[in-house]
Amino acid sequence: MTIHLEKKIERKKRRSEQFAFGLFRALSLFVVGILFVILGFIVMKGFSSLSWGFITQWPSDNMTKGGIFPAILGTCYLIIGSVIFSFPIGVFAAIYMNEYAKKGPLVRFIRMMTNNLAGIPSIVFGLFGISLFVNTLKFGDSLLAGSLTLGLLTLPVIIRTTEEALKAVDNSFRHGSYALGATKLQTIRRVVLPISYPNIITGLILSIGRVSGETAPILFIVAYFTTKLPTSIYDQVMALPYHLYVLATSGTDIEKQRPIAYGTALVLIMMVLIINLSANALRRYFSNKVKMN
Amino acid sequence: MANIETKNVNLYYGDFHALKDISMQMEKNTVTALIGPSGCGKSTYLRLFNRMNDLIDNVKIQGDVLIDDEDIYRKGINVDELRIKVGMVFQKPNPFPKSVFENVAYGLRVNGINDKHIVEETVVRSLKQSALWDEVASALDPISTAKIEELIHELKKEYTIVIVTHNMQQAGRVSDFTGFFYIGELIEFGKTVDIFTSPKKHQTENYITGRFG
Repeated sequence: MTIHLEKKIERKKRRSEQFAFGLFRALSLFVVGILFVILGFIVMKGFSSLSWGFITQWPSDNMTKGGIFPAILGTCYLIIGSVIFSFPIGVFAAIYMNEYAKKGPLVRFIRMMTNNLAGIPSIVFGLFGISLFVNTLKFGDSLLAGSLTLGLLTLPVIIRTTEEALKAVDNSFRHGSYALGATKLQTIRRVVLPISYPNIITGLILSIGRVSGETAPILFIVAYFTTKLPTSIYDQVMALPYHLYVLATSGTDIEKQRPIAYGTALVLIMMVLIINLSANALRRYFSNKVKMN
Repeated sequence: MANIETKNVNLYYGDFHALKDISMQMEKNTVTALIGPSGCGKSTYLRLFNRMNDLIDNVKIQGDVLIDDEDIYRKGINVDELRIKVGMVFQKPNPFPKSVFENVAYGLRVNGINDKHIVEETVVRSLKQSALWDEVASALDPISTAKIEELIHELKKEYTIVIVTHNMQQAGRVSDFTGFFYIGELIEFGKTVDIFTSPKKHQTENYITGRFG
């Protein structure tokens, strides 16, 4: 009798276990599924527009033909420009907050403000950028103004991920270094930073993904169309997401532009993917280096 | 001549009174063992001498800590140089994620010694010792304990050594002086022979004989 009951309970336990597993598996597959549906949709619609000419030529015939080369190049420039601006500032700010500053109201305040900065809608950054960089500082609608605006946008991401990366370094490493007579700067440069490089690079990847995809902050800054490539930081640039926006909403012949728009979306996704993969390779290189060195 | 000396040292972690009015003198080229139950302040006391307690927030230190008659807590002292002079072996081994060579060379490198020959020579010499330390980390079998103790005797010729230990026999074997700590107080301090054979305080006797702690 009791054996029978035990078996029954056992079976019931196993069934609910299987149910839970099944549910979790189904939900994770659902998430992956959505990603594949989006990717598949873009690839299907955009693949036909892809060609060597598409990524090396200029738009032509009122953007109904030709390629998207200036937009690709513009986005690359914007990524580089914004990273040059935000990466050092963000990393140094995080080092200050985590390694140098006394834990107290000031650091808490800076951290709170950083979080608030991350919460500001990106269109507000766009307005801020145009009023500060374009008008007040007279950079004009330029690569410089666009890079700085995007840099501001990614600053909190970099600060926060770097801070997390530094926090993850066990204090015993710092103490061991100090006990051997290392100064604070030596400890940070030779022990703390090498250990946290891989995680800091994660922050860089996130911010690059953000920069390459954001439209709103550069809505008022990047060009609808340029006739020449930028030769200085004060020149106008085109950008992929904004180009996509133009093609999809305010072109001259939206029907003819559709395939180009999907092609542009596909190129944008592939670009982000390639950047992420190479950043991951870099990250792996650094973590191996930390172990081997 | 006293090499290391503390005069009426009090240490607080926030509100917690961790060291209570501790005065002690350690002579040059001697080994002093600090014994006592966990959390009694031995490690905190040890960390006074290379100012590792500075790294903890909300620490307040009163009294004098003198090394070679110099107050190491006076303003303007170079803490990094102090830590080069006063070495410390931690309870837990914590190698940096670098090669063994780089780990051993680290202390030299941060002190600006980059001459290839000097670094290599020192590393090779220390590696013979560090292999020995490594075994300490995994388990203290009697043989490696003996090696450590041998090393302590060797180092005594050049250094003044303070060790924290839970191992009474070890304290008895390697040290010249012993201090017994209990809840932040230095209960008894004297020649190791005296402490182990005729302790003056009841608590010391109870701890050494294993009746509490």
